[in-house]
Amino acid sequence: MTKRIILLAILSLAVIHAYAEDGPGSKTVIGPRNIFLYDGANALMAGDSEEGVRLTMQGLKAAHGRREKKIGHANLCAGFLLIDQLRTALEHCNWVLEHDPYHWRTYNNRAIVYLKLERFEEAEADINRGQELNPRSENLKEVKGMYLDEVSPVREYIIIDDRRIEPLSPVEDPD
Amino acid sequence: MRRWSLLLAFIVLTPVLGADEGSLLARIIDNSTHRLPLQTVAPKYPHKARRDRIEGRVQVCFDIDRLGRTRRIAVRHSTNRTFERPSIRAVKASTFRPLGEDEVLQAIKSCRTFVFSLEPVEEQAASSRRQQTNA
Repeated sequence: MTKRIILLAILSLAVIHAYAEDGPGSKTVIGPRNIFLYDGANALMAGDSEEGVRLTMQGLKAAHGRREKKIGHANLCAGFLLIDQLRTALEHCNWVLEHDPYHWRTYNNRAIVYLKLERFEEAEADINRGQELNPRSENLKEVKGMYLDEVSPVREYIIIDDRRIEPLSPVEDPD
Repeated sequence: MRRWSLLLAFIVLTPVLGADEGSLLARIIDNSTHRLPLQTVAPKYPHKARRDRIEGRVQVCFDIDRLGRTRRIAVRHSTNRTFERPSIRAVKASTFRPLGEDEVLQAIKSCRTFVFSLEPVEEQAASSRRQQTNA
């Protein structure tokens, strides 16, 4: 379960990308605008959660504009989840969803937080909302599987049936 | 960019490879084929099917050679393609008793049906699992 949570949270990071702008009256910029957010996301993806959280918090302090703030909070939601500080993770998840109710990645991560807090109804609501926004997300399907394992666990059962279903051939049937 | 693609591919693959085995129960019904099974391998329940709570059934037909190995394995019927590959693998890994020198190899196709199902686990077991997870 823990390994799955780590992987799912990492996959749902809102990574800040490098960008390039080139047009009349604009300068070309190559590389991340907020290096702390970028390095923080890299550290989180590399599995260094504590360093990732530290860098992302620095990045959030230096964030310009709503987009960077949203990325910072979304990645802190994932980061604090990874280091198991669930209440803090929840605060960052809530911030993102208050400002962007269409951010399916945060619904994914907040659902994991709720699962770990055993707040199953809220987890289900977030999974459903996330799947409305991104029905094909494999991450959300994984989280839904984790939710189902918690609320209605199942055991795999395989029957191997060797009974002959065809009529016996004349060679086999002496009558 | 390529580095990120590789990393993401690895991360995507890992949950499938590292998934919990769960408690797999296999029950064999009636081994009365014309050849005696030596080793019957149960298929692995596909991770995505378990996750999405999908159940199904696959019938695989095959020949058995003199040495008891399965040959010419083919899916004859299946309710969901997800289950076909593990069923074929299971048949491929299964063996039957080799024929003796005086026995004649019969050209009869054998078929094996795999039923993949999920049974609810009692609440007690579920809560103990939760406690283990939290610990």
